[in-house]
Amino acid sequence: MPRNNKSFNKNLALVVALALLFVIPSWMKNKYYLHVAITIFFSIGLAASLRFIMNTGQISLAHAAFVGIGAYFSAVLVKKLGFSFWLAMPMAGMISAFVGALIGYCTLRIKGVYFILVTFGLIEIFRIVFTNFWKPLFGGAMGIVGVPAPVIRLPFLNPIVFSSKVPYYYLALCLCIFSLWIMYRIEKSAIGKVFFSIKQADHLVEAVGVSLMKYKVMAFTIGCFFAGMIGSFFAHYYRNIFPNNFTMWYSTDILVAVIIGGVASFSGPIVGATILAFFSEALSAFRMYQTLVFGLVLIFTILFVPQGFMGLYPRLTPLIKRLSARNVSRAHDVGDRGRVP
Amino acid sequence: MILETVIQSVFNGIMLALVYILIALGLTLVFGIMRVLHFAHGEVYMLGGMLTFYFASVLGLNYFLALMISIPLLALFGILLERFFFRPIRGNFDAALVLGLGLLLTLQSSALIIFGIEDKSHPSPFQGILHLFGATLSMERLGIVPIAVGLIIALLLFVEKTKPGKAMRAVAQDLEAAQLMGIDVDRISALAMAIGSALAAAAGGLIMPIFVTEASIGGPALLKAFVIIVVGGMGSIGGVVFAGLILGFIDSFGAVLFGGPIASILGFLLLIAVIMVKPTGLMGHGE
Amino acid sequence: MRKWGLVLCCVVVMLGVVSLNPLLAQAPKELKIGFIAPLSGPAAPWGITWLRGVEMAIKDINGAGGMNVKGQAYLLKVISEDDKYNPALTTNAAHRLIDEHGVKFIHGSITSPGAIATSTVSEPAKVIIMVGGAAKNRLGPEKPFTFCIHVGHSEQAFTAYPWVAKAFPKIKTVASIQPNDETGQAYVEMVTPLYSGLGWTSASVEYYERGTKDFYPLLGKVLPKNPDFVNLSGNPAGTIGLIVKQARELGYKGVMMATGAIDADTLMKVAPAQALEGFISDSMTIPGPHLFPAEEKFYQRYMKEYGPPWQALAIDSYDGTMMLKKAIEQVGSVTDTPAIRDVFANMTYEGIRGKVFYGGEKTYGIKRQLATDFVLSIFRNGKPENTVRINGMVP
Repeated sequence: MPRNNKSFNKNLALVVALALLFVIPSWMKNKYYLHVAITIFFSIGLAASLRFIMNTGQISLAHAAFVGIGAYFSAVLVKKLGFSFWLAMPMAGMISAFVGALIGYCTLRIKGVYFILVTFGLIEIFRIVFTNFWKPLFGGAMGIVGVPAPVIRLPFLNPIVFSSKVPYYYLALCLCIFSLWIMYRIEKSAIGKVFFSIKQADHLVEAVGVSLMKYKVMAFTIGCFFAGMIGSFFAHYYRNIFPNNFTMWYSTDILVAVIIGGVASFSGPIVGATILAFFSEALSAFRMYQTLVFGLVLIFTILFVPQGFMGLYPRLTPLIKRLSARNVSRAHDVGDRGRVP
Repeated sequence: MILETVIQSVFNGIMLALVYILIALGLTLVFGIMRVLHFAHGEVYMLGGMLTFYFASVLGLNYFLALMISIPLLALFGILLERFFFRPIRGNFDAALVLGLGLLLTLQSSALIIFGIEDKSHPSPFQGILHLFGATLSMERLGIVPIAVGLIIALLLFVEKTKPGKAMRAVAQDLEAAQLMGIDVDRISALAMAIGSALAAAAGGLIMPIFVTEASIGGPALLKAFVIIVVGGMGSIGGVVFAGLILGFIDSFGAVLFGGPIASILGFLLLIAVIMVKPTGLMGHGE
Repeated sequence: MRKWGLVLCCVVVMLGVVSLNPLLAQAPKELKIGFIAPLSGPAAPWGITWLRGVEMAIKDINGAGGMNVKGQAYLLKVISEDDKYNPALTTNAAHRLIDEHGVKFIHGSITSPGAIATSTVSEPAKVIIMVGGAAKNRLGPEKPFTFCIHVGHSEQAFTAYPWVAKAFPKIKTVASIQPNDETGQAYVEMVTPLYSGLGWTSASVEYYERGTKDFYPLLGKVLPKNPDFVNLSGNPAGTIGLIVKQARELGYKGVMMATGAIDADTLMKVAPAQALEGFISDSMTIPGPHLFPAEEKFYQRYMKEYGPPWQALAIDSYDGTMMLKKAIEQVGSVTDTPAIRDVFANMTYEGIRGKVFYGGEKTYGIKRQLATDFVLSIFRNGKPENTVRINGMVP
């Protein structure tokens, strides 16, 4: 089989990048930078999982609620019921997925803008439920404090408790890579193609006899699964969770990461989450004007790159082609031309 | 005791409903014509209250005069928003969402900085309390009912009877056909933003003497408008009025019966129940 | 030859620099203090006010030449972070301040979840933090570096309620209207156990979502229970004004009270004078009886610099910063935080409100809750009349 230069280079670049990421903690000792890296990893995971749902044309602003469900259930499982974190994390993902499936089944029959508005309602319901109901379990407004750190118990060895940032870094990185890999595989498969067709022209898909609800609920459930797993990580990393952590604003942060990165490209969430994280760091210099500056930058960024930063890529490619004198053509998914509600 | 509470809740429900309806109407107008979810609409409502307060309390103008200055000012603001921010990204729903979010954050933070952190209120021109079968009806709350109803009727007449109004309906129904008929979509979009912002500003200005205005009242108001639009059906004025009344009554009766937190959820549960049965809203048109 | 001349010059210059060093050591150094609070969104007024108190203190300290730490002058600089009321952002900010900027003293965050989020990062790093909030688990012997420098409405209740019970012996039933978040829930939890000792019973506890402006529905649930006393402590002044106005419109005639640094101007703007008649509060008429000259001076200064509304919260962060300065100077180090902590905790300080000190050993297990005076007033003819000065000590 003739070797495909392009994809070999792409894979090599990926491997090198991953290797670098794994090596970073050995020379970067600053706890703060490690913390930023960790938050970037799980933000990427969340943005990717939201984008996964958006692949079927549904924008969910309730995504933070599913992170919260995963976080709360994982905290309860480990702190109050004594489960091991390693069991609790996938369980949290599954609980989140289950709730997602239930809610998806009820609400995904509506389209576009209506669905977004419904997700607003969902996140409010979530907040009120966790603030007011089952207080002995969920702690009410005071949340769950003192969520235990993960512990690795191997036979014949002392238990390894996650006390410094380094094990969390590797856990976050692995979780991120795992989530991205699975979502990528699904997206590139036949199922992924159905998702995209639903986004582009759902009435046509229906006309061909494919069950819209089945695929929409599937995408929603899978997206919520990863949100739940990351939520579990969130709980055991921050060690305290409160209803205030999982508000509409957190959902919009995730959405902004997806759109700024570019919803059409799989790498969009990676780019978007990273840019947003670095930008938030730079923002802190503005003290009490942080939110104002953030709003302004958001406005002007979206006016200049309405397709997101990865949407610039097709424009850059001819430039790169000319510079590198390679004669390979690329097909790019340029993405949305406006949403049909 | 029960009768009093019921009467109070009914009147209160109507008053709340009218304010929500004014806000929701603006939102549905903008969506119907521009096909974007105007996230910053709640901030226009807040600015309506702020500007009315500024002209009435700080500059000492007559309250109604203050209203009549604030509303056109914010209508103009709506036009500027359409021209410089929404028009460049027309058709891109996702980008418009982020844009609206950016506007929301910018406007809310600016309001905090410019107008200050304290709660703002101004005495209402309608003073006094009416007692009906033992129920308390404050004149300031009753006073806004005719004004709000008048605005809603004015909007209905505009959309049904006037040429620009019909053009708006045409654009909302079928953008391409409307363009083929020679309708200038840019101008109609600007008109929609102007009217929508004016209605929201009116709501803000009317509510300011009764309650308080401060920089963060936009968010909860927007959320109410969202619920109304989904329940009533996007693009249907009658649907918005109907859904607004339902939500007003739920809010009014709900807290009396169940307390604050549960009453809040009720509105959202209604939302979900309605869309499960009729996904385009109670009076919405299929799209 | 030239080469040696050059070397000689360098040596001379170096010697000169070395000999100048003692003088250089007198140049003031900079000490960074961290600050985390909501500076945007609905909770912004509290964060902004807290920051203002800190800034006023820093202005005074730096204006007098800075802190004197064993002969070395230190000028203070505050690095402020907006955590937008989200404890995850509080954690991010805490990491930034502690791990990147290396600060050893932080104001914030000002709510209970924020305090817990900050302390999770600050305690292992032995960083002293000054917080607000009311929840029981935000202070404790396992968090020796966490201090509450704010006497809030929960703390005031311990001494305010007994006074109210004595002044209004007819009170038997109490209704409470609180925001549906940690402030409200923590208040109810802390304060309800006090009722039985005073012969009170709770008629009703109702929560509302922050941002609610229309209380007719909620009052429609509370007032039919005929409470003798409606307690609105901890709510924002504007909201209190609305509840008082609406309750009186609905015909409620009982006693109403609210403490928690309630601003009188806002109250008077929102609620008409006849509705406020007899309202008990910790709003004050300044100048007025029961006040110290220092309080009046601080009020004038605050209003001149920042304008209305008056937020007494600024006094807490001002005094807290000043107390910290005193502790640092006494220990003679800006890095020995265990020693500074112990001096801070055992200090008796002459603050703007008179003598302040740390207590709360019985409630929290460790002396980390500030005790300071506050004045209760009763509204007459539309203005608060300062009535009694009480010490806000938590057992």
